[in-house]
This record gives sequence, C-alpha cells and structure tokens, in this order.
Amino acid sequence: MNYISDIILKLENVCKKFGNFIAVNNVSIEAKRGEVIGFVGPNGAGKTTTLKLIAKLLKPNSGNIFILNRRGKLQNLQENPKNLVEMGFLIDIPHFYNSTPYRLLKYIANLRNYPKEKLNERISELLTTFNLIKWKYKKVKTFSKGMNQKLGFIAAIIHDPEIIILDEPQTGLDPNARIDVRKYIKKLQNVGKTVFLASHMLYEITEICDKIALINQGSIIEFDTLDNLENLIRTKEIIFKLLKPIPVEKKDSIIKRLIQNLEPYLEKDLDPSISKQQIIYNSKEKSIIIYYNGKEESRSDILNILINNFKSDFIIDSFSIPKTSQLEKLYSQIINE
Amino acid sequence: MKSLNNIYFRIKPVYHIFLFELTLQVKKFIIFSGIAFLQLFLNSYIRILLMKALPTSLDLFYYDGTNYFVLIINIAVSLFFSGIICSEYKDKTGLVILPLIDKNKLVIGKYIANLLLVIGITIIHFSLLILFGYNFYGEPIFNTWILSFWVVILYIITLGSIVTFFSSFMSSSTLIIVLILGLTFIGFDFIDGLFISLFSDLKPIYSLSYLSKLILDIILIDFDISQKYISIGAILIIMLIYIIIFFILALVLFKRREF
Repeated sequence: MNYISDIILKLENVCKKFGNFIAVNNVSIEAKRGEVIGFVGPNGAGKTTTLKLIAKLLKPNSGNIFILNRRGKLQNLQENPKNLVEMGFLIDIPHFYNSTPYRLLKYIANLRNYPKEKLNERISELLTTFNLIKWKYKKVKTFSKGMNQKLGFIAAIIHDPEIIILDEPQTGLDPNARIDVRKYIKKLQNVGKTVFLASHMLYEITEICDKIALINQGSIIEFDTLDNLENLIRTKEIIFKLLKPIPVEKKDSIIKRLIQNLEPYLEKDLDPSISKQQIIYNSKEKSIIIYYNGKEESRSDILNILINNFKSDFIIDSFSIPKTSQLEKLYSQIINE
Repeated sequence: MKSLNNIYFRIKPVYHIFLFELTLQVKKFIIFSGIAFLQLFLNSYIRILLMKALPTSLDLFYYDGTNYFVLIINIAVSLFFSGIICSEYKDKTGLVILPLIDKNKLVIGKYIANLLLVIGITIIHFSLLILFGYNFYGEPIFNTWILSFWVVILYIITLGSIVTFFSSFMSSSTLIIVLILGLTFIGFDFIDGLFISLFSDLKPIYSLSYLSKLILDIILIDFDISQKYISIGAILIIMLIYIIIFFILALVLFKRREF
C-alpha cells in the first residue's frame, strides 16, 4: 500500500441546492491514491448528487472540488480540465446510444485518448472478463439490464482512469457478475486506482472499501475506516459455528455456564434493540452468538475459554465477526440518530 | 510543433464525436436520400404517367422538384438536429458521455456530422435534379441551379442552428420537431403576413419562410431578385447572424444545463 500517500480528490465544503432543498450540505471529504471509498446512505441522502458533482454533471452552489492534475497538484475541477488525471464514471443505470459494445467502448476510449494500438486488446479483455465478448458486435438495445450494467462498468474503466466513480455498480447483476465486479474493483485498488463506490449493498461495501462515508440528508455523518466506525457502536458480536448442535436438554445449562465463564468479557450495556441476551444459541444454524465488549484482546480469551472449558459440550467449527451486520447496525444507529 | 500538437488534441475529440454521430445517423440519411429520389421520381415519371405532361421548361421542372424538397429538408433538419443536446438528457446517454467530454466539443462534433448528412441529402437531390432534368429536357441550367443549391445550404445551416438552440433547453426532441415544423410551415408565414400588413414597404428578411421562397424563386431563369428580395448579401448577413447567435446561445444554455 505504498501508493497511499497523495490526495487525489478533495471535496471542500461542497453544497448543492435544488430550489430550497439542500441535496448536499457542506460535504468535505478527501481520497488518497489507491483508496476505495464507500458511500452509504438511504435513498435521497445525497450520494448520487455528490458523485454527479464530481462528474461535473452538476455545479456546486458553494465549496470546491479538487482533483489531482498531471503535475501532481490538486486543481479545482472547474478549471482547465485537460490537465486533470483521468476519471471514469458509472452514474445511475447506464443508457447507451444504440450501437454495439465495440463501437461504444472504442468511442469512449478515443474521446479520452486511450492508446490506439492497445485499444482492441483492452476492449476484448474487458468484454471477456465480464462475459460480454459474444455480444461485442450486437446492438445494445437487445441487452438486459444486467448486461447494460456490466457494459456501463466497462465503459467507466475502458480508458484506464485514475479515479473511478461508481454509483450502484451492482444493480441488476446476477451473483456471479457481482463477484466479477467486486474482484475487479479489488484489482483496480491493487494497481493504485482510487474508487468511489455508492451502494446499498453493505456486504459489497464492507468487502472492498477502505473507508466508508455515511451520508444522510446531504451531510456526511461519519467518514472513516470500517474498523474505526465499528468502534462507534458499543457492542460487537462474534459468531461461533459448531460442528454439531447442542442437545436440547443441555442448552440452558451450557448457556448459563457460558455466561459465568465469559462474564468479564460480555457487553454490560447491551442495547435491547440489538439483542436482549448477551449469549444466544441458534439451534437451526448450530451457532452461538456472543455480544462482547469489543476489545481486541477479549476475542482470543473468549475463544480460549470456549475451546478449553467447553470441549466436552461442543466443538467449534469456525468463528467470524460479521462485518456486514456491524455496518448494518452502525448504519441504522447513525441514520436513526 | 507544440502548438500544432495542442490543436490536434483539441480537434481529435470533435473528430471522434463527428464519426460516431455519422454512424448513429446513417439510417436516417439513407431514408431521406430515398425520399429525395422518390419525390423526384414521382414528380417526373409518375407525373408523366398520370398527367401525361411535365413542366414546360427545365427551370420549372427544377422549381417543382425543389418545392417538395424544401418540405423534406424542413423535416430532415428537425429530425437530425432536434436530439443533438436534449436526447443526451432524455435518453440519459449524457450520463456516460458528458463527464468525459467538453460540452462545446460534443455539440460541434454532432452539429457538423448532422449538417454534413443533411447537406449530403441535398447534394443527392440536386444531382438527381440534373440527371432527371437531363433525361427529360437535355442540357442542364447550371447557373440558377447552383445559386439555389447555395441558398439551400444556407437555409440548412440556419435552421440547424435554430433547432440546436431549442435542443439545448427543451426536454423532448418530439416537441422540438413539432415546434420547428409548426414554425416553418405555418408560423413564419403567419408572422410574415402580419409584418407585411403593418410595414408594406419592408421585406420580412428575418423570416426563414422568406429564405425558403428564395430557394425556389432563384432557380427560375427570368427571376429578378431586386423585385421581390433585398440583395443576396443582406440575406447572407442576416442568416449568418441567425446562425452565430442561435449556435452560441445553444452552447451557453447547454453549458448551464444540469442533470
């Protein structure tokens, strides 16, 4: 991660109003090279408007947007655009001229001066990656929503931009395509590209984003790494998957012993909206959910106790800290506040 | 050398937009070229079949053929130019393209492509006029033919700029087509009627309808321009003003338009 050193994009007190409605309110955010930043917020929170401001599809009423230029300095987006680093965009559900993917991608790449000699190879490579190669010369009006979305993603990256703005890139995609897109975003991150990703799919966000911006009513409520954001919620959970289910007659006594053994590590002020009990056994899932105090050292202690003190009661198959549900909790907690 | 490179990089996107627009509009071009041929065919071969007679002279034959062609041109310019800007918003194709390109370059590239296609249709019409005329009358009349051709080109550029202007702020290309056809077929004639009744000494030089009549009148051999029109130079200046003003307005409005 050596390349995360310079700021590549910076929003400074950006505001956007539509009449009296404030869509984006004093948003300040900055992204470094190689970061993947997730925008999370309910519908109408201002995610797409923020991305449209970066895409120059809208003009801010106040504030500034700075992008890195080719001389390595931040430059106001409204100034001479030809010096800025390349950007790629997938905003909203993509709509294309009624042409073929080959022509469309060639057109977009040509507009952004992508090297002619590499272009055909790049188009084929990307269409192959996203399983659209056999549609290369077919008209896009025959495409399904998911195919259009994949083509939109390819169109955003065809010219190898430094900054990639993606608004709900997984809309309409089947699970395989979603995995392909996720993998590709990871790949982009590994080669130092900066990605802005607005999504409702919290799992995708937790899987690929370095930082998350929680937006509500046009304002950024929190902007930090997922780990730091998790510290904002008081309770953390660990899920232990068991090899075999606990016999029904032993369940209560085991839970009781678990509470006694793990007492120092358990969450004392557990939010009843999250759970009423600190330890829950789910017989269907063969799992034990433990709400602990969130301290890192507690996790290994809990694991040790469960393995050593309960080896005659159950065998742990695996354990996990569910990031998505943490983010979901954080999301609903912050948005509801 | 550096400045030449700069110019090349500035023009290059316009060239790519131009080429892409040509591929998108080529179907319309073929259809309108076919219509141009068909109207002349109907006006000559079918006319002989039905009415057993053609116009008495070649310039009248040119006049009749071009009379219908002016209608075709009005429709063609409306169809070709109406979507230049507004379709980017209505069809949302602008979400893909606009963040990547300077808006001025987009309009210029698309405008030139559509202009050349409509001019192409005009060239086809005027070439067919010569061919059909030669077939029925013999030796063509080049001097009035070429004058009429240049007035048509001027008319197309002017109308194209006006349509582009409407496209820069209106939401639907269908509405623009209706508006432009309304203006060219009825609107200007109605305004001209009022204008002449108020200022009987003046010519409605602002009017596109007036210019479209010149396309036809100028094709007649014995036509004396001073009787009905002010000088060609004055018309040219007025139309150039139209072209520049509407085109610049279109660019300014497009620049301010948001998604």
